[in-house]
This record gives sequence, C-alpha cells and structure tokens, in this order.
Amino acid sequence: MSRSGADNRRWRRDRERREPRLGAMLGASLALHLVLLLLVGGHLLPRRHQPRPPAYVVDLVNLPVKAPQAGRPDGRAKKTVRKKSAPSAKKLSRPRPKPKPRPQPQPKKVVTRKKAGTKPAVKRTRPQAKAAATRPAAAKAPTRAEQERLERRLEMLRLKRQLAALAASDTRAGENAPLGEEKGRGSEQGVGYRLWLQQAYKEAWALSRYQVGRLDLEAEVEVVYDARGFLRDYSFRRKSGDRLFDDSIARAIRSVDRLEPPPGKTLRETIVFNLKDLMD
Amino acid sequence: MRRLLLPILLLLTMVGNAPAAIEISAPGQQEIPLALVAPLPLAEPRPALAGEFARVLRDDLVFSGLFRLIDARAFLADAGRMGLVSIDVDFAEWRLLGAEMLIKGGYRVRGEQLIVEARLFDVRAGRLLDGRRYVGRTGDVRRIAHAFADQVLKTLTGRFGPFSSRIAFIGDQTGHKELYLMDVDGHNPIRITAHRSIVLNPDFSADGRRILFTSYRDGNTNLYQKEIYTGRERRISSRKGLNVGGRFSPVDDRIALTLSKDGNPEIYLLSATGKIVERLTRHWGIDIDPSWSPDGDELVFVSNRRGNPHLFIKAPGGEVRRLTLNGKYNATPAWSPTGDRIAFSRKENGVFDIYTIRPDGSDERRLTFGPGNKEHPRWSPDGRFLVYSSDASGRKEIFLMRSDGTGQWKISPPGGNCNHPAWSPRF
Repeated sequence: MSRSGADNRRWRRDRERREPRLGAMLGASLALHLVLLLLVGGHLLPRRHQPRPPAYVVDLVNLPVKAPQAGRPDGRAKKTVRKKSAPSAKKLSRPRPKPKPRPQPQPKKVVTRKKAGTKPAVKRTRPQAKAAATRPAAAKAPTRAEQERLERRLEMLRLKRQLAALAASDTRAGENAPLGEEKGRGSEQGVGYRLWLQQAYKEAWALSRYQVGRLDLEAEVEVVYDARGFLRDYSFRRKSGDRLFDDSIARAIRSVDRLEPPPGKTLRETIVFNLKDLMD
Repeated sequence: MRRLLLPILLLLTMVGNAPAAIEISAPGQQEIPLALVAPLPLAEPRPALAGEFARVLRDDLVFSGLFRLIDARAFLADAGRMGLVSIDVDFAEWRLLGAEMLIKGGYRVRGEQLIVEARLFDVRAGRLLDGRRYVGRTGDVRRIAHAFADQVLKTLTGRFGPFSSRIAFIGDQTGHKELYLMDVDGHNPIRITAHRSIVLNPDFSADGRRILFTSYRDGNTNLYQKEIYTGRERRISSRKGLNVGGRFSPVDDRIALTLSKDGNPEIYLLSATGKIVERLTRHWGIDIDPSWSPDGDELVFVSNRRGNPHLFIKAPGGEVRRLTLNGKYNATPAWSPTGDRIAFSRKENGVFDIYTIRPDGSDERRLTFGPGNKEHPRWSPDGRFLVYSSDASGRKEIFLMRSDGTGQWKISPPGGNCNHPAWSPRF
C-alpha cells in the first residue's frame, strides 16, 4: 500500500491547498473575536427592558357630558391635529419627486408598482388553487403528501382571508375616532361623568404605600351630587378597616366637592377604592 | 305564585341594569405633598438652630418615602407667620400650593435651654393633627428633630418612626476594629470599646440598654456584654473555640449564639449570666448566625448541612426546616420585628446582595443590585427600613434603605471601614 513519489507529491500539494493560510486564520480569528465582543457587549443579544411605571392619563381638556357619543375616551385631540398636519408635510416633500414622475416613464412605474403590489397576492392564491384543482387531473397519481401540502396552503389562505375580514370589521375606536366613550351611544362630544369622576377622584386621592400596612385594602363609598354639581352627601358602604386608608378616601371625596359643568340632575355613584395597581 | 313572579322579575331587571361601581385601583398621588416650614423664632432668632432642625426633619421625612416636599421657594406669606393653632394658619394658601400636610412651629432659646414647638396640620381639613413641645439643650436640636419625625410618622401611619434610635457598627478608624454608636442619619459617632483587637457582630438587648459583641481581645473569640449608659463591660462566654454571633432574645434575657466547644459549631441558648440553657442544634454541619423571630419562639440560622450555606428555621417543636432553596451561599439572616419577612445576604456571581423572604419560604425578593458586596442586613425597630454594609466604593460603608430596597442612603462616618451594623430599639 505504499505510495509512489508522484502520488506523495500530489498528496502534499493537495494537503497544502486544503490547509488554511495564516492570513485566513488570522482573519477568521479576528472575526470570531469581534463577534464575541459584540455578544459580550450586548449589541447582538436582545436587551431586557424594564417595564415602565404606570403613567396616568389626566384629562384636562374634556368636560363631562351627559350623553357621550361613541369614540375615544381620552382627549387626544392634539394627535389628530398633528395627523392632519402630517399629510401636509408629506405634500411639501412630494413636490420634489413630482417633477420626476411628470416625464412619461413615471406613470408606467406606478403601474408596474401596482402590478407588483397586486400580482403576488393574486398569483399566490390562484395558481395554488388552480394547482390544487388541476394537478389531480393532470398528474397521474398525486402523492398524499402533495395533496396534504396543498390542502394546508388552501387552509392557510382561507384563514388569512378570514383574519383580513375580521380586521376590516374592527369597530374599536382608532386615533381618528371622535371624542367620546367607547361604549357611548349619545350625541355629545366628550366623556361621561363616570369617567370624569374616576379621573378626578384618582387625582385627588393621596396615599403612600408606606402609610398602610397592607395593600389588599378596599372600601366602597356612595357619593351624591346635586343637579348643580355640588357634593351633597357621601357615605361608606363598606370600610376597609384601616383608619388611614379610609381617612385618605374621605379626604379625596371632600376635595372633589363640585362637578363642572353641573350634571343637571342628581348624580348618585358608587365608588370602589383599592390598591390593586400597587400590588406586585 | 304568579303574584310573586312579577316583582321578582322586576327586581332582577333592576339589578341587571344597575350601573357598575367606579373603581379606582391606585391613588393618583402616592407621596403625600408636605410643606415644611423652618421653625420661626419666638424670641431671639437663632437661624442656624432653626435650619438644623428643619434639615434633619426634612431628611428623615423624605427617607421615610411617605412625603413629597413642596419647594420652599414657592411658599407664600403664611410661611412667614407663626401658626401654632389652626385659626392662625391660612390653609387656603397651602391648598393653592397643593400641600396636604403642613409642618410649622417656633423655637425659643434661653441660655443653653432650647424649646421647640412643632405642629403638624392637615391642610385639606384645616385642622391640627399633632403638636409637640420639646425642651432640651441647644445641642439636642438634632435629637428633637428626630423625635418629631418619629411623631409625624406615628400620626400618619399609626407606628412610630425609628429615627430616635441608634446604630451600632464596627469601625477601624483607630487601626483596630472597635465598636461604635451613631445616630440613624450617621451623625455623632462615638467609640464605645477600646479592645485594641478585633470586635465583631454587635447586637442590642430588647430594652436597648445592653449590647452584645464578640471580641478577640483575649486571643479567643469570646462573647462580651456592654451596658451602654454605665459603660460596664462583662465577659459572657469564653468557652474553648468560637463564642460568636450572640443575639438577645426579644422576649427575655436568653442569648442565642454559636459555640464550637465540642469541635463543631452548634447553636446554643445561654442565660443572661452565660450559663448554657439548651443546645439547639446537633448536626455534623456548621450552624451559625442565629436570629430570633419577634415572638421569641423560633430561630433562623445558617447551616451547610445540605452542602452549601442555606437558611434553616428551628421551630418550637425542635424540628429544623429548610428556608432557602435558591442560591449557593446564603448568610447573615435577620428576622424582621414585624415577623413577616427575613432579610439575608446571598452570594451570586461572586458578589453578596440583600434579599428578603417570607418565613414560609415564599415570595423571595432581591433588594440590592449593582457592584460591591452588600451584607449584614438588620431591620429598624419598626420594620420599615434596613441597615447594611456595602463595599461598592472600595471601602466598607453603612447604608440605610426602605424595606422594599428603595431610598438607599449612605450614613457611615468618613474614614476607615464600617461594617456589621445593628439597629437599636427605639429609646
């Protein structure tokens, strides 16, 4: 089994060719070290983001109304204004590319783009459907695996269509929805007294977590406002048992002593105070 | 039957249509807005004294985590008027600034005597919540401020604050490890031992009058007791081997400590005179660092009986149950005075950090993060705060923090290393 001299030379040459050169080795080493450094430095690995503390939305814009319309409950009127101005900004930037489309090729480009945008969707659906429909006839014996694959694709397409239909029928209030309440049925623009009261009491309620021994406290209070919006009465339906907690609630209620504008009729609401959001 | 059916159906429909209650699941203001006015002179003004009082009171109250101080630059005319009774205070002004609570007062100096009148008002209700008159010497102004801070916490939470207590620690400012005492905010440190050796592990008696510590003065790790007011010192245990980690029982004069007189460190109970009352552990593993539950029935301690140092609890029946299951090195446990949590330090990735855990082993929480070893946690007498040592700066220093790990505050005096803190009861 001994090799001849020529074989040996060839074998050595081949071996030399196969062995990486020093430069390549150094390059690979450098690349590896770079990747390691990036990994250790946290550039490649996803970083954990600490959850932000809850931000409370305080509605200073909207006045309470009796019959709020359907829409957004928060007063993000500014955002809509910005949105209106955004298209104008786009319009400002568009004139620059517009001169380009004026020459003839532009419309064509638009057409081609449209084609490019629409075709794949059509192509994806129809040919597959066609294939699914024709193959069994054209091919002698389509395998079971192929059939199953096609069926799966069809099923996926069906699901996608269903999802698109569901997304189109989403009735949730969007950015441009009118101001009101999500479940509002009335005609007035603004939030109802209940939402307004919730914000007002939350704002007025001052209590430190270090003040109470437990965070599982809860109290229920009934408040009565007259037609002119003045606080007429409040009473604890259920006390928490912690004097400091109950006192802080009483202070908060007393500080929301007037509703503006007046509700026009006697308002009687039950309010539950607890510390659920402070619990870990 | 038909007669009844209609009203029942009507009732049911009414119940179904009743609007749900409005739920408010957290207060909008989680710190009480407080306006703190420096006391005004009732006689000859001494602005330095008034400023010192206001500074100490402010630091204590802010550290408590209860309050958000209103900027003094926004104060209106009422801040310059003496107001010791409700009718003298213009609450409308303070409401305008958003204050919920108001602290005002006055002071008078007669020779070396200092009288401070301090008042806490509820701004929204427009009434006096608490008022105190303190009489002392001019040098006691810090103590008076701490005492009023405790009183404010008592009024607003139902429990006294810990600011009138003191903290013992081991410092090496003299070149030897000696025992020191200081105020809760790190002021007035005084050395109380002169062993010119190594002193370790201080612990206060329940009445705060005596302090236990271990010293190498006689060449062996012996247990000593020192009376703080008389300065009288007594050797409690000098058995062969270790006499370390002495802890006074919260209910009587018994002392739990580790003795290695028979070769292996075990936990024993001693009487106040140092006589062995009971041997609590009997295991080939090392058992050290006992800490009492507030009712004096149970002890948490460190043992390596399962391989690595872990926390174990010795129950009244004599059985020992394992407390910590995580980590590979858990040490220096301290049972909170409220009984609901146990603080300890755990070594992970070569660094000690402070953790707390419930006595049933649930709800483990890490309180400290970042570089440096954070060790030897001890609770404040009200269970609201923790004191611990940290070497993050390169030398060992003493820090305070709230029991949830927030508000870390360095209090150790400058120079030298400070560690092994112990929080005294409220005097």
